Amino acid sequence: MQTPYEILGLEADANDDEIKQAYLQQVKNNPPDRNQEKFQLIHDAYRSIEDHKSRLKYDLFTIPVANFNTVIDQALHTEQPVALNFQSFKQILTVSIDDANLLSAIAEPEKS
Amino acid sequence: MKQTTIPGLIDHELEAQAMSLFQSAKFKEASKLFKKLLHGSDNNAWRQKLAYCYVQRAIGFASKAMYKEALVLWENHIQYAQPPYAAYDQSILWRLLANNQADIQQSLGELSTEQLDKQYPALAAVLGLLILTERAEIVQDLPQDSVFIAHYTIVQTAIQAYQDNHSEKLKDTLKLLPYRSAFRDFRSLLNAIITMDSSLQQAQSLLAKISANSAYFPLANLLHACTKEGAELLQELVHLSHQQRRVIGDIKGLTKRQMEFIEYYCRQQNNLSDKVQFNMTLHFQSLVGTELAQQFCQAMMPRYPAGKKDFDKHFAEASEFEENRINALNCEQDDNLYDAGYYWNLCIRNLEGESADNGFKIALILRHMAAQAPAGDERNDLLIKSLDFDAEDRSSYVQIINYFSYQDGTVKDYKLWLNKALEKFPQDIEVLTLAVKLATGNKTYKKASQYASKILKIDPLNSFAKQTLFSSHMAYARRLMCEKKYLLVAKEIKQLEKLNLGKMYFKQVQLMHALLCFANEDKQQGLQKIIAALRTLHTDPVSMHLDAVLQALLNGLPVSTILRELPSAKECLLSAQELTEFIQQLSRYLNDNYDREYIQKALDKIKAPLKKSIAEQDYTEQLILSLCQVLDKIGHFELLRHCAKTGQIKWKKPIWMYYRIYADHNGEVEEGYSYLEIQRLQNANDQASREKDYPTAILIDTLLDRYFAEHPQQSMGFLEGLLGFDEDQEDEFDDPLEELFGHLPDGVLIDLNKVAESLTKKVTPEKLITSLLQQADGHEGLLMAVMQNPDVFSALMLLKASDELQIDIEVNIYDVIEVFDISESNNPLPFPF
Repeated sequence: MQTPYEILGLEADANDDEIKQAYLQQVKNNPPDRNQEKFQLIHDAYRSIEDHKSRLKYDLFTIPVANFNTVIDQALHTEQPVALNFQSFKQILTVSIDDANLLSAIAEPEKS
Repeated sequence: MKQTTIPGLIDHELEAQAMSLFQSAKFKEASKLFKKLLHGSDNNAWRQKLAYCYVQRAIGFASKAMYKEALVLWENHIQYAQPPYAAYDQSILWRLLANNQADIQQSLGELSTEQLDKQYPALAAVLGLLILTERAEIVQDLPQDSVFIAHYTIVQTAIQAYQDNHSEKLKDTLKLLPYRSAFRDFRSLLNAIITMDSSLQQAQSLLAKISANSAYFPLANLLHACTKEGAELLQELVHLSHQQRRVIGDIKGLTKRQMEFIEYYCRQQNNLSDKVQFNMTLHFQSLVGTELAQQFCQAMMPRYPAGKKDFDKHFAEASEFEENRINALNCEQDDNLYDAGYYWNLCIRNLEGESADNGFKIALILRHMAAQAPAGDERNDLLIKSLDFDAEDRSSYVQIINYFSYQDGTVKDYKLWLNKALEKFPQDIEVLTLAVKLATGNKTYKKASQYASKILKIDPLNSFAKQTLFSSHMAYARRLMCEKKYLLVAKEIKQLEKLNLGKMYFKQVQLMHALLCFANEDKQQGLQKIIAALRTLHTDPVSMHLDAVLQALLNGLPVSTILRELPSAKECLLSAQELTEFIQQLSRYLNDNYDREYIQKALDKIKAPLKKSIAEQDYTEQLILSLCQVLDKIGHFELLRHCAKTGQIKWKKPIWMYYRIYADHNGEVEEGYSYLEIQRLQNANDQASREKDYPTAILIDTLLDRYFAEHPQQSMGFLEGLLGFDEDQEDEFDDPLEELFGHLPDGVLIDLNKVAESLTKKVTPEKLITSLLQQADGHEGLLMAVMQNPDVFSALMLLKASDELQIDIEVNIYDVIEVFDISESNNPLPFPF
């Protein structure tokens, strides 16, 4: 389950202004007439962290969720964009060769 | 071929066997039989079948990477088949995979342009991919005049452009490849790579177009993995080989440690227990970051408590507060509010010890605990305590005030908290509304008017405030009228007129005018005005009478003088609509806190037409129920009894039994209910529960609770009481009823009980006793015993019931006399006369 910060695309230390701006941006991108459920999710997320009091409440009464995917995301985080130069392409092309797939490509030819 | 030993009949059987094996895909066995058959005679159908068996077996071997064996079988098939041969394209691939150069050259050399460009597009696509990867040399063996070769030249140009980083040239070149090219999928993949820089999503959608049957599908999968991040990337990588993962890791710029993380995960993917996740997070803390690793491991602790030691080793020991907080939340998740409360209290203690600035957190925890606690003292105490730490929470004040408003004997607290709230939130409508309600309840109308005016200043459309303001002015005017301060009454009426609240309110003001005229100016003119005003307010004489009596009583005016002038209500039968309005009128009186005694007196004056209407008119059950509810609130039990009787005759709902008994006792429980009444209430309660009529079940429960609280000795059920199932006496055998009837099975006792009940309904107790006494030959002591001890009567009733049912219960009247120790004449009379 996503945290309100994740729903609004915010860092956990975002301040009131940043939260409000993110909320307005999300509402703009997901107006209620387009997807009511998504809008409600965004709205609820905003209400739960909109000011210091609500954030304190959220922090106190939200049970930390042990989400291993978050751990994986962080562990495999990389700043580098996908760089597929010619050498990489040759490498990936070579390792992609798979006899079984070649056989099935002929055994079951695509009907076009 | 010459037929030697197999006659026609055997041929036929063999063929059937061969066909059966063929159809069961047992090609090896089938081919043996077809070969045997062909030894006997040449048959084209058998040849075709045999050829098919060879091909299928060849495909089977190829799928196990036994290409040489596959090729031998395929060659065998040629002996029994005509061109074009089945799986010809596959046989070429098998040759390539078997890697016999001479064989490859020969088979590719035999491949015609037509076959390569048109007949075997799948083979062409595979050859294209092999040429681009590991078998570039085979291009020279292919027909050089083919379209395939022309497209390959284009692809080479595109690759060169890619190598030279000429993306525009690359794009333009790729456009030269037509849809039906053997390199079509290669074109799509290169386009996806070009797009990756600008839009990963677009690249993904291009990659998704590569069919799962395409030779390029594995490449598309690898490129797709390159577009993913974090957990999604890992999910793609687990399906790939180690070598493929390394290549993608390089492309993604993953570090050695990150690759170790991936490999570790791939090894554990089928056994990703809490322990593995916990340990992995600790092990790769340098990648995960200390903060996240600590958060994750702490959150895992309830699921993996064995990790506590490692946790403490890797991280600074978790704060006591945090530990207690998580424990409390986990307990709440398990619906264990008792332990949750314990941990929250520990949290509060931790916070109190930490710093003075933690007051707000403590207040939040107390309010959270209050929200979890059931409504009652505990919740209220928590809320009150929370205000010691944060006195600005309006909601807590409102909840506390509401709590005290519903409790008996808490008026002082109610006032205290309301004043506190008013001080803190003088402009809050909810708090002001509560203040209005309290003032109205206390009949301090001036105060109520002040608060209502304040609400209307904040919210000019607030209907509650309007109504209250009006009612307060009215009530004050009536009080002045009673005190004969007519000038001040006139002033109040002017105030009422100024409110300008609407038509209905205006009519009531007119009535007040008329009453003032009657009291202070001209009696006759006043009477006419009163009648005129009542006529505008009501359509039927019953409602007019009710209002007239009530207004006269409230204003201290003579009731009979006014009533004399009104049209008679005696013969009036109220329509359903009129009765509805009548009920609404009564509800309004109650809301305006009119003296119930006055309402009762007013109802007394019109009870005759009301009773007549209820008896004769065909009202709906719901309408009579609404009337019952309002009569109950007013406390007019005579009319309530009448409604209940009528309802009981007409309808079957258990609520009617409730109202019947409740009204029979004027809503009181001090006087004892009869056994039958208790029994009926309990039956009605059961019926209500069965029919999911929970409001009625609650009403009956409340009444029975009140009754048993007043008469604890009767809280046992009849049979339990009869058989002495009191816990303290359970093992004793000193109850005569137990001694007499304890041997009977429960079912028999229940039947006897039912009959006894129905007997008491049919025959008067006097007659019953007389008939019972006759059985005992006029035993004088028995009559005395019946009068002195109700258990004797119960015992005799059960005997009578057994007679009715004609069951031999092995108990007779003499047993009763003996067990109760009833002597013939020496029982003294209960009274000394």
